[in-house]
Amino acid sequence: MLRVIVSIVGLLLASCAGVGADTVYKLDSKTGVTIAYSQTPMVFYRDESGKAAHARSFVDMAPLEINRMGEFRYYLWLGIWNTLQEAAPGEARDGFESIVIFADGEPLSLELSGWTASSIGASEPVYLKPVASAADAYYEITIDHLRVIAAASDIRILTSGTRPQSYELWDQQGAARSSLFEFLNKSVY
Amino acid sequence: MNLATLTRAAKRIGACCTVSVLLFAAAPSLAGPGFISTAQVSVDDSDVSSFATISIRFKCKAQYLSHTPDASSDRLRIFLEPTTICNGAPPTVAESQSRMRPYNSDSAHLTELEYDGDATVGPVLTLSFSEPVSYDIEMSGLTFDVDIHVRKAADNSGASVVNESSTSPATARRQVVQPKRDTGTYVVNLVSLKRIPTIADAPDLVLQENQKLYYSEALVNGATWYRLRVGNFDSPATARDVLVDLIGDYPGAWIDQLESGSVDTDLTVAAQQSQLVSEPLPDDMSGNAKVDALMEDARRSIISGDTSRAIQIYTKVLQLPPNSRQVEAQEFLAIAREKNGQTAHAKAEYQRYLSLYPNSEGAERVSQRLAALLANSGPASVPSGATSTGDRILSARRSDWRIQTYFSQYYRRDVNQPNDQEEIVSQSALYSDVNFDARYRGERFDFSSRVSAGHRNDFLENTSSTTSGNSTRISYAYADLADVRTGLRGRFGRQSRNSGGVLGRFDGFNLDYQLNEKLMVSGVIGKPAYSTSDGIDSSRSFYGVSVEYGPVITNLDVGLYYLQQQIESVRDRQAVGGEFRYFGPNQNLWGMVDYDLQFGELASAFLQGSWRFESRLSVHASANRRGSPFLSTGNAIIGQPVETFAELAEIFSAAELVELGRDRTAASTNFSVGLSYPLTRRFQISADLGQSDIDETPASGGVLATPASSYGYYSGSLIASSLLTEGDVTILTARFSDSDTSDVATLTLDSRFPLGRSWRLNPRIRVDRRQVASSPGVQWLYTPGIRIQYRRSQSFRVELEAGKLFSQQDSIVTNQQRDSYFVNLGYQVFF
Repeated sequence: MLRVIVSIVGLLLASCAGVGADTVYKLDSKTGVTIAYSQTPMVFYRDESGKAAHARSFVDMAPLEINRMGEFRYYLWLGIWNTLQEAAPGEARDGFESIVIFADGEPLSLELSGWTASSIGASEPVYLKPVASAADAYYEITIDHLRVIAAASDIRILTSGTRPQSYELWDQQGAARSSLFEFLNKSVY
Repeated sequence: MNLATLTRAAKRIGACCTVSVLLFAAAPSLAGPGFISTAQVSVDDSDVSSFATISIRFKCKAQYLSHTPDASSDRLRIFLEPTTICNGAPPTVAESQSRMRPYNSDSAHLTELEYDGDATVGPVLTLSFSEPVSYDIEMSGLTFDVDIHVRKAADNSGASVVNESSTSPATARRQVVQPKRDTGTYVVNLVSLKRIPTIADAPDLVLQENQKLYYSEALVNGATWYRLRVGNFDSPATARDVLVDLIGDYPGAWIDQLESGSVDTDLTVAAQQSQLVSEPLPDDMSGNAKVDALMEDARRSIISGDTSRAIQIYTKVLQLPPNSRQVEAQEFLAIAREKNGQTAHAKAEYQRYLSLYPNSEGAERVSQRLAALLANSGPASVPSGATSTGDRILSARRSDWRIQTYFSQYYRRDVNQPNDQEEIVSQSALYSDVNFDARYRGERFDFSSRVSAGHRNDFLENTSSTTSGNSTRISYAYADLADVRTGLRGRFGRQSRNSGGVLGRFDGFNLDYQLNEKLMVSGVIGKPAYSTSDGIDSSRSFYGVSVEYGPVITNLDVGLYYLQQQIESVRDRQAVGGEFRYFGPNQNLWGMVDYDLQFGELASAFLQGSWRFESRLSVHASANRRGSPFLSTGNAIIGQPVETFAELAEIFSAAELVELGRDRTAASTNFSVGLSYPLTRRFQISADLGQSDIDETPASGGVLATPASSYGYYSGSLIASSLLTEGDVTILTARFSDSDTSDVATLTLDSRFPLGRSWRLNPRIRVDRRQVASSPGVQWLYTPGIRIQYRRSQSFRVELEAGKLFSQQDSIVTNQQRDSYFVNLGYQVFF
C-alpha cells in the first residue's frame, strides 16, 4: 500500500508543481469585483479523541482582498471540516458566528460576514474546500489585523457557542506564511 | 402502529413544525454591514476654489457635530450623530466600522475613508489624505449626505462648515462622472503620476503583440497628470482581460475610454527626451544592473519625498529573484513605511528584516529603529479608556509586557423522561475555563507563557459514571523563550505538537532552530499526556528529531522525523515518517505517513486531495489507514487484568509484549469521496460517501478475539444563502448511514440568521429514522433546537442553546417513548 501511495503522491505532485505565484488575482465577471487571494491557507486543528480514535477537526484560514471599483475590503476565509465520519450535519458551523484569533496572545475578535461567497461580493467560492462537507465562513478584517496575524509566531482560533473550541496552529506552515507575506506585500495599503 | 400513537406522533411533528416556523419567522429582514452607502470622488473642473469633491452617502440620516482639524490637514475627522432614520438598513448599522477607498480617490489625494461607529469619542468619519489639503464640509441639518470639497493646502481661503444655520448654503459643485458609452477605443490605465513616467514604473510589464505602452497627459484643474497606459483595445471586455492580468502589479489600475485630442507619447521616446527622470532600463540590462537602477530610483524618490513610490519600488526589488540588494531594500522599505506614517506596516517590515537577516550588519541598527518606533507609537494616539483591539495593540507596544485573560462559564443541563415517568437529570454541571497568556517582547528575546485550564463542577450527587463528578483539566501550561537573532526557540511544560511523530499533547521540552527562512530543525523530549485530567505519565517517555522544509516549490511543505518512545523499560514505538502539504489554486493535496521500525509495519497513512475543474465542480477524496488505538507496545495492556504496564511486564517478556501490542491493535481503514458544486450565487450542493472498516483482532495472552466491524454513509446537502435576509444560510441535509448494529436515515434543516449587529439566531430541526438490527421495530427521533448568541462588545458574549428530543419506538411487542431536553447557557469574556 505504501508503494501505491508514494506513486500516487508523486504523480499528483508532478502535475501540481510549478503552478503560478502565491497571490492570485481574478476578476469575478458576474459581480464585477477583483479578488486577490493567497493560495496556501494556514491550517489549524483540534484533537477530537473524545469522539473517535485519532479524530481531528480542522480549520483552514486564508486572506481575501475584494476590490470593488477601487473600494478595498479584506476578509478571512475559514474552511471548517473534520475527519469524523459520524459528525452531525450542520453542526460543524456551531460557534463560528463569532471567533477570536489569538495572535501572540492578542485577541482579535471577528464577526461572521456570511457563510457563502456571496457575502463578500463573489459569485462562487474562491478557496477550494478540503472535503465536500466542509463549511465556508467569511469574516471581515482590517489589513492591519492581517499584518498582526502574519507577524505572530503563535496563533490559535477560539470559537464561540456554548461549547467553545480552541484550534491550534498546525506545526508546518512555511508555505502558508510565505503566501500570507506575499499577499500583504502586494496589498494596496 | 395504533391510532393513539399516530395522534401523538402527529402532534409532535406539528409541535416541531410550529416551533420551527416561529423560529424561522423570527428571522429578521435586515441588511448587511457598513454605515456608508456610497462614496464618490469627482473632479471640480469648473470651480477654481476646489479641485475635487468627496461625496459620501450614509445609510441613516446623521447630524454634523464638529470636525478637526479646523481647516487643513492630511487627516480629517468629522464627528457625527446618526439617527434611527435609515434607508435599507437597521439603525444598528450606525455602530459598525468600515473602511474604503473610493474610486478616483487619487484625484482628491484621498488614501482612505474610514467610519467608526463604535469609537470611544462617538461615531466619527475619518478621511486620510496623501498630503495636507484644505477642505470645506457641506452637511445640512439631518441628512444622508456629506460633501467634502478639497483644495490645495496653500489655498486656505476660509475652510468652513456649511450647515443649515448658514445664510447662504453652498451651491452644488459636484461634477458627476458619467459612465462612458460602450463604443470606441479602450486602454488600461496602469498608474497616474505628476511626473513623466519611465520604464522603471513598469519593470515587469510584458507587452503582447499589438499592444503599446505609452503615457498621456491630462489637465485636471490646472495640474498636469501623466497617465501610464497599455492599449489600445477595441472593446471593454478585451481591456478587462488585460486588467485582470495586470491588477496584481498595478492595484490601482483601471479601464478608460480614449478621448479625442488626448496627447499620447511613446514611453521610450519620452524617457529619452526627459532629463528629469530615470533612464529607461534597456531590455538587455543584467539583473544586477536592473536592481541597482531600481534602488537608485527609490533613493531619489525618498529624497524628493515621494515615499509612496519608494515603497512600490522597494517592494518590487524584494519580489525579484534573490539578489545582493534585498537586505538593504528590506531595511529601506521599513523606513519608507515609517516615513509614510504607516507605523504598523513599518513595524512588520522591521520585524521581517530581523527575522530574515538576524546576523546582518544592520540588525542592531534595525533593532534600535524598531524599539524607537514601538516606544513612540503613541501616547497621543491612544486615548485614555481606549477599548478597541487596535488601541490595545498600541497600548501593549508601549509596555512590552502583555497579559491577556480569557474566561468562560457554561451551565449544562440534560434531562430524560422515559414513557411519561419522572424526569431523570443526567447532567447538571458548571464548566469553567480560563486561559492566561503573558508575553514579553524584548529587543532580542521574546518570552511567552500560557496556562489553559478548566474545571467541571458537577451538581449531581451519587453518580457512578466515570464522566461525572468534579474534575480539573490542564490543557496547556508552558513557558516559551525565543531568540529572534539566532532563530532558537525553546518551550517547556505541557504543550501540544502534531508533527515530528508526536501524537498530540505532552509534558516536556521542545527546541526549534530556524536555520533559514525555509528550513527548521526540531528536537523534542517528553512524556505523552493522553488525558488533560491526568498528571504527568511516569511510565512513558519519548525523544525525537524532525526537519521541516518549505516552501520547497511554490506552496509545498515537507517534513521528516524520527521518534522513539519507551514504556517502562520496553520500547513502545520507534517511528520514522514524513508529511507533505500542497495547495494550488485548483488543487490541494496533503499526506502523512508513519512507519514503525520495531513492528516493521505501517502505523498510519493519510492522504487527502481536492481538485476543482473549470466547470466549477470540485471533487474530494481522502484515505486513512492506521491502528486503532495507535500501534504501540503499550496496547498490550488492553483486556489484561492488571492496573499498570509494569505489572504486565513482570508476566510477559519484552518480545511477548510487542506481539501482544500488535495483536490488540486493530487496523482501521477509512475512505471518503465527495463533490461540491455552486449552482448559483445563492445555492450550492455537496454530496459525499464514506466507508470505515475496523479489522478483527486475534485472541492472545488470555484476551479474547474481537470481530471486524464496518460503517458506511451517504450524504447530500443543499446550502442556500441570503434567502430571507442578507447573511443568512440554510442547510438541508439528507444522510443515510449503515453499520453492523443499525441503519439510520437523517434529515436536517439548519438555519442561521444575523439579527442586527449583536444577535444571531440558529433554529434547527433534525429527524432520524433508526432501524436497529437486534430489534424488529423502528425508532423515530425528532430534535428541534435553537441557539442564540448575543454579543455585547468585542470582549463579552452570552450564549444560549436549548433543544428537545422526542423519541418514539414502535414494535410488535411494545411502544416506547422517551423525551429529553437540554439547556446550555453561559458567557465568554476577555480582559
